[in-house]
Amino acid sequence: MIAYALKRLVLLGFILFGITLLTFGLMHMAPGDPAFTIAEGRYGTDLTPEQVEQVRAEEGFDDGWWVQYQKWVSHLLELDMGRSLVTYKSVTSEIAARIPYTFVLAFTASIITFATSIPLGIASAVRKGRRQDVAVRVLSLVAASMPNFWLGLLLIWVFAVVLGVLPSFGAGGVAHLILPAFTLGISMAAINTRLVRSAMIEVLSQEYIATARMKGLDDWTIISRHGLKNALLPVLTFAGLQLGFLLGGAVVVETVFSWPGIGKLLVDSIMVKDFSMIQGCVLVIGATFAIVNIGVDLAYAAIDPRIRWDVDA
Amino acid sequence: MHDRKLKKRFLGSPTALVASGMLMVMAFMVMAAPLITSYDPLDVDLKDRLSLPGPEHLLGTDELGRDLFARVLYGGQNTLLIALTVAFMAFAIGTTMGLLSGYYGGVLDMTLMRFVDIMLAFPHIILALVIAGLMGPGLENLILALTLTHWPAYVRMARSGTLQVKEMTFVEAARSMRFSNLWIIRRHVLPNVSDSLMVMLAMDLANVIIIASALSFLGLGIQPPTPEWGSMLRAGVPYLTTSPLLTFVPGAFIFLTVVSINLLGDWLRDVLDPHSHEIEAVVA
Repeated sequence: MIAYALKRLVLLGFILFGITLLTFGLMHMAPGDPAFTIAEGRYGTDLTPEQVEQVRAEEGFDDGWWVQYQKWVSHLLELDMGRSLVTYKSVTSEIAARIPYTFVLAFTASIITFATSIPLGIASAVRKGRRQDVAVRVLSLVAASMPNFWLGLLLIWVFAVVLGVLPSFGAGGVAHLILPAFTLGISMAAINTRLVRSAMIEVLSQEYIATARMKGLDDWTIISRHGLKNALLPVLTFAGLQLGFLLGGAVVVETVFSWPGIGKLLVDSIMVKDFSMIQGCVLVIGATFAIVNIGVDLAYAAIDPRIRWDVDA
Repeated sequence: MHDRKLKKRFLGSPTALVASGMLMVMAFMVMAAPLITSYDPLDVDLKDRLSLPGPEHLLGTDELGRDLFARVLYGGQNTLLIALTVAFMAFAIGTTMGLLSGYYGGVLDMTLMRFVDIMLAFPHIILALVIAGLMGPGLENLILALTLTHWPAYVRMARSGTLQVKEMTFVEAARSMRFSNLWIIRRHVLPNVSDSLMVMLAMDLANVIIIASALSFLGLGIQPPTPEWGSMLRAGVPYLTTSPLLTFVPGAFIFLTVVSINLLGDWLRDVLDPHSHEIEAVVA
């Protein structure tokens, strides 16, 4: 276990290093002179060449990229991601202010996902091939095929425009959370239901289920005690991918509903070419995703010893 | 799988028939747009803005008085062009690199796989969003951004298949007979990994359509006035209360296309790759 954990942690370190390199590189591959962009934000559009040069010297754009990268990383380790090119606010504090919103949205969406996909997936697996199963499969395929921005707009139309019962944008009370959380939750639940279903079918075909049946246990005990536990294990391994789905989905859903999370911040920053803010958002999202994925790997290996042996880490 | 057997399974499956029928109708409507509608999707008519569906305009007109039906058909040309180009380029690049990397192994393989790890460390859409944002809007940039972020998944898939096939006796045999490596890859390795890659390609196509239209919806892809499903949706949002058709229609076209592709992909997976895990196809 320790050897496996070490391998995973080394990989994590490597991926985090890669993420910083990629993020740093992306910003420097962006067309245009960054010194010019920053100077423009600072002094307005009628710039003198001296002002641009001054910014260039201050920001150290004349140094080699490796020197710049080191400087950038050393600031990063002090949680200093620079200032927004547009609003001058500290990138770190701006992102920190947005994260709770994304967290609440993602958390609520996850609850919706699990509350619907586990019962539906089980019901579908237990009645495999019958009417309920077909209905659940069709429903999940339909929901999985809906682009979440469209689903969000449809929900807005029904609940905010026609029925007028829910707010369609912004953050506030619980009412503001309902539509975005369902939009995100429904598409994730669609995928999850299919996962739970196939994992459950797999488990129900095992010999220990047949044994339990022969012992005369009732269906409910078999499913909840023997089936569900074993079926959830493979489902949990995909928690990392689910998170990716949540973060990616949050970008779109937050924009549709003007929900002030990190996803909306990223999209808004891209629109105004606020490079330091984009950099910060990408870094935080990428790092969260990587850390959670490795954490899931480790947790899974701790629960199921078989996994430690057949991973080419 | 043998072609004839595949054909038989295809004709015996109502799902596959319905889904491919829907796709063909959709593709035909989009490709044959000039034959189906006489309206120019760019023709502005400010006197006839936001009109309701009627005999003159089948689905009504948009905020600039352009025929919605014509726009959604022509818009599909752009959406489908992007999706097909991206999926096939990512497939070709990823498969080639995965095959070579898995077969030869060594330092190159290690380097490539670590790079792939890093690329896949970001949720797909976020990397595509940032790259498209940095390069600026437009058709070519959108295709480039999406391709850049899509090929690594194929590398991983092709490589893991190659690693398995490489150990098999028939590859050993071919090698001992001094067949060239490239010949072995083409004749022995590729056919044995192609089934799961085809399934992935089918599923990915649906995914690319959604991501591409999402980027356009966010304002990073195709720019107005060029019609495209995602950017049409974006333009329709301010009129959601008064003319909801502007958002319903392009979204419904995306949805119907994606549903049919997913149905076909599901079917293809059951036939070609029955042991694959559900999630690989779903998340790919």
